[in-house]
Amino acid sequence: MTVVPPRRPGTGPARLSALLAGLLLALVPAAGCATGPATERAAPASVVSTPATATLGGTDVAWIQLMIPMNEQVLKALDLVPGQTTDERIRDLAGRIAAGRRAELDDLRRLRGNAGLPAVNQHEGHDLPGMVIPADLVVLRSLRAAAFDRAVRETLREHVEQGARLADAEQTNGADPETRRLAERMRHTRVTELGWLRRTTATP
Amino acid sequence: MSLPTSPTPARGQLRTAVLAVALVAMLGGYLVATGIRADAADPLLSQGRPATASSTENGGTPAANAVDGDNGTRWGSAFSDPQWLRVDLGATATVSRVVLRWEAAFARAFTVQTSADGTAWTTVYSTTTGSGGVQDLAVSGSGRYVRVNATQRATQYGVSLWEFQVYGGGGAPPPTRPPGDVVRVAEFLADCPFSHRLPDDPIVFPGLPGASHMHSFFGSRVTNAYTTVNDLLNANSNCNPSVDTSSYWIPTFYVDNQPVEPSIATFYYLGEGVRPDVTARIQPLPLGLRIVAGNAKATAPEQSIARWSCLHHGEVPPSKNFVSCPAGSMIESYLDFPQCWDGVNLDSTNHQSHMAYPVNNDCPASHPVPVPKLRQVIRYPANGDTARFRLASGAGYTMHGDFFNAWPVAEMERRVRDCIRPIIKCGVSGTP
Repeated sequence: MTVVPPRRPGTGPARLSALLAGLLLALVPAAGCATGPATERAAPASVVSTPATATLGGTDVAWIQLMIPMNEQVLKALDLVPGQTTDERIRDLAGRIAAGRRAELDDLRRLRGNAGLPAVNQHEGHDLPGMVIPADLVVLRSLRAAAFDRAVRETLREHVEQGARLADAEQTNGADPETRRLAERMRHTRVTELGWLRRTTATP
Repeated sequence: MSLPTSPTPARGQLRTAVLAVALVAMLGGYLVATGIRADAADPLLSQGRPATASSTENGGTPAANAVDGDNGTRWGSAFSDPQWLRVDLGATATVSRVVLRWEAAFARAFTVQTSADGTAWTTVYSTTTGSGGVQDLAVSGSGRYVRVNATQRATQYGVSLWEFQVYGGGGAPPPTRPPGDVVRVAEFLADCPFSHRLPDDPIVFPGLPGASHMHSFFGSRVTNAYTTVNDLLNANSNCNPSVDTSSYWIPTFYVDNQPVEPSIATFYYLGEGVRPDVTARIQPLPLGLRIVAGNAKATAPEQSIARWSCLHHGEVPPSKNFVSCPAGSMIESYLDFPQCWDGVNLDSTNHQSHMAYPVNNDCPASHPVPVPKLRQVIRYPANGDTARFRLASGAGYTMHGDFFNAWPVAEMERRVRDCIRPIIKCGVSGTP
């Protein structure tokens, strides 16, 4: 018997539906303009908190410790793209997402350091939703051209959608204002990326 | 994450129909509790009473195991028909209810009988279509002796009962056993069936619903990504004893990519693993303590401390990874949690460093407080080809367990005082 336990107000399926609906709505303008990630990112310094006063809650800590390996791992997939795709749009897409992830990693690692958290990957090789794991990389390395494009797009879609969900949860349930601000920016980035992904999925 | 193009069969592919049919055939109603619940008000008369049986499977399966209040120990018979097990209530009693908690080797045809003298028997229940599981039978009879008489086995093995419980009125006063008569094992336990599944983990991913691989939850009925100790204390649990409102969770087990939940999930609290003088000063597990055991990130068997084996089939060597169990058997997982606490923190940022395993049978100076060792024993209705198995976290060696302690403080203290420190085997009630 499966029992769906009660969830707190504002965190249940209705809220998730609202988020995904919001993502889809956000895709509409994104699909129609050529906004790149560089113009959307604030300078890294803006997310640095004052070390002495940084007070992270459990959700903040868990989110930072999860997003660091999620970004690190997806970069390994993105790094395969230039050598294995034949689609210029995928190559561009991967380059833009990778640049955003590297910048986010700087911010995330800074927050981790400010909070005195160990610089250890808590989720190394952990098969989690949206996480690129070594087995995924083995598959991606074995593919070329259109087959690779399909696989890497699916990998990225799952990664980006999960990242948006987690950023939303951190914004809602996190305690630390700096961390929540970074989550808000990262959610926005992922909404934009879903628009890019949708455009590259359309047959040229 | 799973790639749809993955050539690895264990990930991302569905082979549903074959599995569903196979499972239904194999289970054969094993999970179905049958019968009619009798008046629950009548007291349990049989626990700790002398029990005898027609035969035993081996030295580890004596008749007494069926009346010890411990759902983790069993009586098993020789592999033949008929077989019986009887309990002596000490004096004539009225019998209103009999509960049979069958192990996988159950009886298809059996009777429940009462007797005044242990020779002439009166049948109070009879069936030829028994389906195992937990049979809770309303009966009406009287006698000093009560027995289950199995005339037809359901499997190639004998018949086996985790517990045989007789309820009613009268009988002899509760046994007052001399100290030397108790089983000298420091133990109490909770039997907590499967409750629900969610991709949540309130220890590792608090406030982040959907962040985790799929977990199967046991005990508390409400655990999700937001759960706090107060949520647990204020909610129902499916544990026996129900006073244990703790939450226990493990990665979901899949057979051919379909979730399969355990038939039996038992959480033992043990005083073993340290010297006797250390056992004697074991402290209660503090309310709200969170422990994670095992290694969800293991990429090789040697990185795991969990163990897989086959129920009833010790000839199959245990392994860190899944083992292929013979037909009729069940694959089972054992996992011991760390039992030395730092005395300060209920959790830590890596969810591990506040707890430690003993060193040289004592708790290290960094983690000086000995607490009961939690042993998680999980038995799945599955056997055969291990290529069909996976955990939500990956291979068999990624087995892990999470524990969020919500035993009411007084209940935990009593059990540590009465069972663990004096090294006495207690059942779910926490009494010898």
